[in-house]
Amino acid sequence: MSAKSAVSARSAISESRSNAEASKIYSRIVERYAMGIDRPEVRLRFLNNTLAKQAERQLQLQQSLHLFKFLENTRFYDWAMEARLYSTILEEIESLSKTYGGKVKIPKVEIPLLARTYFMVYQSRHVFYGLGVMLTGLLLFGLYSMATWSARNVNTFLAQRYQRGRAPIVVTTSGQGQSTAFAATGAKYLPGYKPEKVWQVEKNSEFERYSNGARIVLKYETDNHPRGYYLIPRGSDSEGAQLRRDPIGIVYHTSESDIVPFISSNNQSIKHRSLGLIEYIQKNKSYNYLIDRYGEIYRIVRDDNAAHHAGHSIWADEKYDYVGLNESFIGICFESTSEAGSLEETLTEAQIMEGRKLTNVLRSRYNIEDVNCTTHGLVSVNPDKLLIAYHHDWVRNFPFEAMGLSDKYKVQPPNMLDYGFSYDEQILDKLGRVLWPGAVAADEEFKRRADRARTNPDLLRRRLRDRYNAQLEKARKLRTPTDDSDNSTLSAQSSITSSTAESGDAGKRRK
Amino acid sequence: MEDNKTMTGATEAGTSGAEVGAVGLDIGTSRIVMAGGPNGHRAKSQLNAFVGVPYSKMTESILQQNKMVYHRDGKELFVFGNDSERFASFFNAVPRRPMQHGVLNPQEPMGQQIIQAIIETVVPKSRSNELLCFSVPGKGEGADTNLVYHEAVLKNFLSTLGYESKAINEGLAVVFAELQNENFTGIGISCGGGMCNVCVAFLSVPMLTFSIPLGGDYIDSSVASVVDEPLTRVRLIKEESLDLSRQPKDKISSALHIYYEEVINTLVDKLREEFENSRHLPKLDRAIPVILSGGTAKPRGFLQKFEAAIKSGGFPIQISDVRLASDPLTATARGCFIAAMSEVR
Repeated sequence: MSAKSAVSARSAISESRSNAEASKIYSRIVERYAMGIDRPEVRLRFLNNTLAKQAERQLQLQQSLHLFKFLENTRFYDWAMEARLYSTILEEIESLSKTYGGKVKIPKVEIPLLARTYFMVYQSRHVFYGLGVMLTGLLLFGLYSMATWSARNVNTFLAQRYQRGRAPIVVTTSGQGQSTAFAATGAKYLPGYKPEKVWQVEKNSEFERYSNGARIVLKYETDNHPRGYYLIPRGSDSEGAQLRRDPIGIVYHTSESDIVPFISSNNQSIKHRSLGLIEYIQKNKSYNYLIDRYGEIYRIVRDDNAAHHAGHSIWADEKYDYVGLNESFIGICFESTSEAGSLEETLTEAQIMEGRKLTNVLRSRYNIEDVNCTTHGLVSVNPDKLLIAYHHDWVRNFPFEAMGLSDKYKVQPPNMLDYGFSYDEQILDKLGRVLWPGAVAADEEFKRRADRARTNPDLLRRRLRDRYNAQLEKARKLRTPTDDSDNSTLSAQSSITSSTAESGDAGKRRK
Repeated sequence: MEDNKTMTGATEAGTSGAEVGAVGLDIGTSRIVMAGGPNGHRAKSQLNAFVGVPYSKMTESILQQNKMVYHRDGKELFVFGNDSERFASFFNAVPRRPMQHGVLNPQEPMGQQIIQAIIETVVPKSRSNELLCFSVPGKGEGADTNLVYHEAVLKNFLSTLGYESKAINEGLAVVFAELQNENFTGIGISCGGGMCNVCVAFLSVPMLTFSIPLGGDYIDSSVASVVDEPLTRVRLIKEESLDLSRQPKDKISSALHIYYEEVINTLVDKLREEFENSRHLPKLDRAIPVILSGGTAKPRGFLQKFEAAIKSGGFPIQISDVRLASDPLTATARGCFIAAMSEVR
């Protein structure tokens, strides 16, 4: 101990002694052990060091407990001080033994068990410090794990409760096990959804019949302008260069027309309404196919011609983006309707069965990938307002599995993911306050994308809308003036005005 | 021969022996005492006094023939230490003191040189920066202002001898030397030539220290003055035949009794006063001893007179006994030695 510290310790002793009765007790204890030392200089050293250390430790303890002053009047404080004193005595005696060895008579120390325990703990304090750090680390890790586990569980619970926040699932195409580019996570359990091979069995002026039993009525078949669209590489800013004219996918619709209860007594009424719907669709060249409530399949617009079923719309597969799906996708309409707000489209069993057959016929004939079989509600957009689900038929509850297709509600919709279309309160109200899981994931992913690009999501949205408009405009130019004159409805639908966006589906018969 | 040089015809400390590990040094007004050796029992002492005479070859020759230690400074020769007394009586001169009232004498121009020369004769040179504890007086009338300077000058000088030095209160040194069995708890009083130093210690920690500027020199000069006798004669009678327990038989003894009583009473009164005024003393739950040491405490009867003075007016604390140090002349040096040894690792 340096002279300076000894002096300060001594003054500390003086101060503490003047006001601490307990010091007397400690002094007596120290004296008792000092008496056992024969040589004066060793005894002096023992006294000086022990009392100075004890005073220092008393000060330390007082400082440590300055916020808990009341403890100084408790037995705990007395015990702690006494234990510290004994610890100091033991330390000093050990030190003297090392320094003087056998030259000096060192007292045999009889120290209370508690004090010895304290001394042992004190001597091993570094081990305890280490253990303390480790335990703290473990505790923090445990708390962190518990917090993350709880958060995950809460998240899962909320997601289950509100059907939100589920991770999108990979949709494999053509059974080759390749994931689409817009899938966020992998999932091996989904089947390949490869269409069965279907061929035409019979054809006459009234119908076509296929090997899977599908029968397509040709009586109302009509022409529109030939298909024509560009393949736009996925996510690129180009308008596409490679021209195609064959259908690449299928968009499912509902007619949203007036229907009557599906009971036998309503046969005449059902037939009558179906006929009216067919004529309306034929006139407006609204869809390529209609499936009435008895499951009869009608071809309206020939497959190689575009129908006016999905004006402002976007979809994509792993390679290409498709905009204005009239040109690239076949529109199949189920004669059905939905209750306002319920979003429950009701199909008859015959419609489901014939829908699957027709799907397989078309997929087989045009090699349409599962990934490109989607619904109108999932592709429809309002470019003026940058919103999704302008038309919301089959925005929920489309029986993909029954059609032999993977669930597209789990896929992040490209109109949100690639083009930044979003939703507002009105849309949410329209959807019954529930977004499908893929939309939730796509919305979050788009925001992350904006973050990565260090730009405002709204700015990015507007830039992507410009891209969409440019792409749509280029595709529109493919049509000849004749096409336009022949199809004034199409022209109107393909224009980029909000009025046309709102009339994107010419075939729907509003109630 | 050079103009400024210390010569010796007799004792000289020279370099330290193998035993040197710590040294205790009592630098008193009248004597400088060194304690060392394995147990501090090896002591060397020199009078802290000197006599100056004009330089002549014959004088120097006499000094050399008598093996006296002397110091030549220009045209003066200074005989110092124990020889100074003999030399003074030989030439009928009064020895001069390098220190006064426990600190360096500011009126003595040769004081520092002489005190260094004396210390060199008793303290061996250190080889490995050993610890040396030396005594300093406690604060008190006459000692306050010069104490810092006194301590600094001595430390500086001792460092030139190769020591790490540390100052110890003189009274505390007495406690260290004599109160081991009481765990260094008690009152140590050193009655020296220049002053009396007091320390109240509790478990080796000084709780109260002070000094009074009265000591042997005061008694000697006062008595010499009142009885008109030479100082050396008064001192001789005091040291050889004074018995304070008996009635004085002559004028000088009578005067010595009077001045001794004055010193004792002043000391006890001051001690009583300090106890009463002190706020930092621990509440002692037992009686403590008083140890008297120093040349002034040596005369027979001093102890009894002191004890009587303590008992007469009452005392703020309980006194177990009043004792004279086992060797009053070396007690302070031994205490310094113990203090030094306790800090040697």
